[in-house]
Amino acid sequence: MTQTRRQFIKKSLTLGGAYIASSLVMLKPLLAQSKTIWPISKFAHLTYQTALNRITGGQPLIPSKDITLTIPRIAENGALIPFTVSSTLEMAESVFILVKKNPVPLIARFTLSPQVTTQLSARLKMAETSEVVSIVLANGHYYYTDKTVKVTLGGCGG
Amino acid sequence: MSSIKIRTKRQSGNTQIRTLIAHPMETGLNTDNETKKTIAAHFIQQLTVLHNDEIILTTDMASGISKNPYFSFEMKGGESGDKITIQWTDNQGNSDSQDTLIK
Repeated sequence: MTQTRRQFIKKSLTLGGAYIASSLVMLKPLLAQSKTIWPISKFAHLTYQTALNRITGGQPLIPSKDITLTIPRIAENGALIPFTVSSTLEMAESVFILVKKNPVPLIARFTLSPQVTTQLSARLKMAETSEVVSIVLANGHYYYTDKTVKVTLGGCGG
Repeated sequence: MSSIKIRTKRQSGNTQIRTLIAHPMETGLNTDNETKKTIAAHFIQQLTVLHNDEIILTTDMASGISKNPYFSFEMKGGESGDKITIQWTDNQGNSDSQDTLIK
């Protein structure tokens, strides 16, 4: 073996450096993923009441006539229920949609910028007949309105 | 082909943005009829709407949104030729983005 001690050390250092660098590259996607924290994951498999407490932080919900939740009263197919939330409340920051008896009660959270009007539509799934609650956060207060939807065929593993 | 379809419409000073995304939105609670195995959860976690590269709306969601999600939003103002971008990321790390210009 012609390799001197000095050469050996040099070589092992560069190899080690390359190894560390490559492991950092591997770590990068993991780091990127942890950056985008997904708030609803904190709400998975919570009961309606606990999910609600986590949203409002114990603040009371105020019933409001300024929020309109448009949703069918009877849904034949629980897998596809169209809904529209509109509100005339000023300074609305967030809109939450919850279905009381779903396995994951929190359906969605919409974070609005001042550029957007509170006029949102989407389609949700329901496991069984339940109340659908829409909560609007405006001026630091939580306003809500709810409606009962009768489901004849469940949409979650039915 | 992109999984996102966007339609915009200007009406009475506002712009309506409608989008349809092709996505299975699996809850993780369903079982495959043939193999009797649970189908892994696969759903969009976040949807972002941008107007001229500025975020105007984010939606965090779970599996409670129906398969092939449809959303409709309304933006104040909006000029012809403005850029609307819609992006999504799901729980399995996939993402997609689509631009469109307001007509």
